[in-house]
Amino acid sequence: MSRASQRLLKVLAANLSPEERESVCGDLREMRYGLLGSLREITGLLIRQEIQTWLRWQSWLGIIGIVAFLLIPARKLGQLAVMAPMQYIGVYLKYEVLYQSGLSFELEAIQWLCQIVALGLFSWSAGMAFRRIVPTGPRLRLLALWAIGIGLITFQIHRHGAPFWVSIVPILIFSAPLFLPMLWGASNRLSLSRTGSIALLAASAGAVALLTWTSGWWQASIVEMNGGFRPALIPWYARSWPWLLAALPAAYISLTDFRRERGTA
Amino acid sequence: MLGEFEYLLLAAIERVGDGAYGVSVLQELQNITGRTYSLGALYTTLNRLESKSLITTWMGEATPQRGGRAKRMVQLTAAGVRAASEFHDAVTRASRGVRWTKRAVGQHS
Repeated sequence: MSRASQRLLKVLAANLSPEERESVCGDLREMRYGLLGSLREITGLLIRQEIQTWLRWQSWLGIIGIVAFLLIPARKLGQLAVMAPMQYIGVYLKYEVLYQSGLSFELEAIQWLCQIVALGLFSWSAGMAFRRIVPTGPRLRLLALWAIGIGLITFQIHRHGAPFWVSIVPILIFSAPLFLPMLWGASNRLSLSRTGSIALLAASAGAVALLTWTSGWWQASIVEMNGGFRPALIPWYARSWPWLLAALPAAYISLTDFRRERGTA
Repeated sequence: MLGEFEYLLLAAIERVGDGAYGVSVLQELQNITGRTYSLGALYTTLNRLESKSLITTWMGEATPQRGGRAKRMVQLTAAGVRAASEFHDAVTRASRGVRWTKRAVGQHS
């Protein structure tokens, strides 16, 4: 087998768990499979594993109940976190003045930092949950998450009718680092105990509830811009319960049916 | 209740006995049935059987003929023996009084 063929096999086999990779590659060697045979066998195994994963209802519940649940605010926060500095830069380059949003610069900066922190929390949690639920190989998983992240941002911006080459490409480039937490969470560099994962997911679900149903710091901005006047709102706890209910499937999965960690080398 | 392939796999593991691992189980399976099976089918089913606690697996020794790679050793658990036995009994009961002679489809004797 040539070096290139061995390299190709190695890349493909990297999507198997370490133990499985060890035993499968050893079996292929012992049975004297050639390159094509080995590629066919490993590809077949990966496809079967994927099918097995997606035939389980728990996988769908996990993706909808945890990953999508966390990515909804992450998408919005990603857009806000990128757009805010770009707005400042754009206005400054065009008019050579600082952009005035109606808030003080300090409040804008605090707001931006909060968005970055929340984005990091949500996207890392989504990546970590994705890794725990879907035992796809590390490279396929990172590729899938990258595609989801880029897709979400593209969709968000395209929906507002921005011209592709003018707006979307630079934003995709600038927003790439914002998805690093998600990719980090999806990689096996850091693993949490089950208790830690549950605590993190609960914190994320709570933060989602607070941010989306009480408007979080956006509400504070409105109050600031309205000279301290706070519009009448339904209490946050009254509006949070549907989100808490929505978090129950996630909690259920966390407590009962997280797949065994497969690990990667 | 086990599936057909799951039962065949359990039977192959039992026939190989001590020292059963991927290649030996696959070869035994092919000897029993006369069919060829992929490693993908083998390992996916082994994972499923292990998640049902019907078998237990562990990493064994590495040999030069495997390029220094370790074997995944397989052994039936008590639950696996019970499940296979129940499947066998069910098939035996279902087969009692049935004669699978070759005849044209739709032809009743």
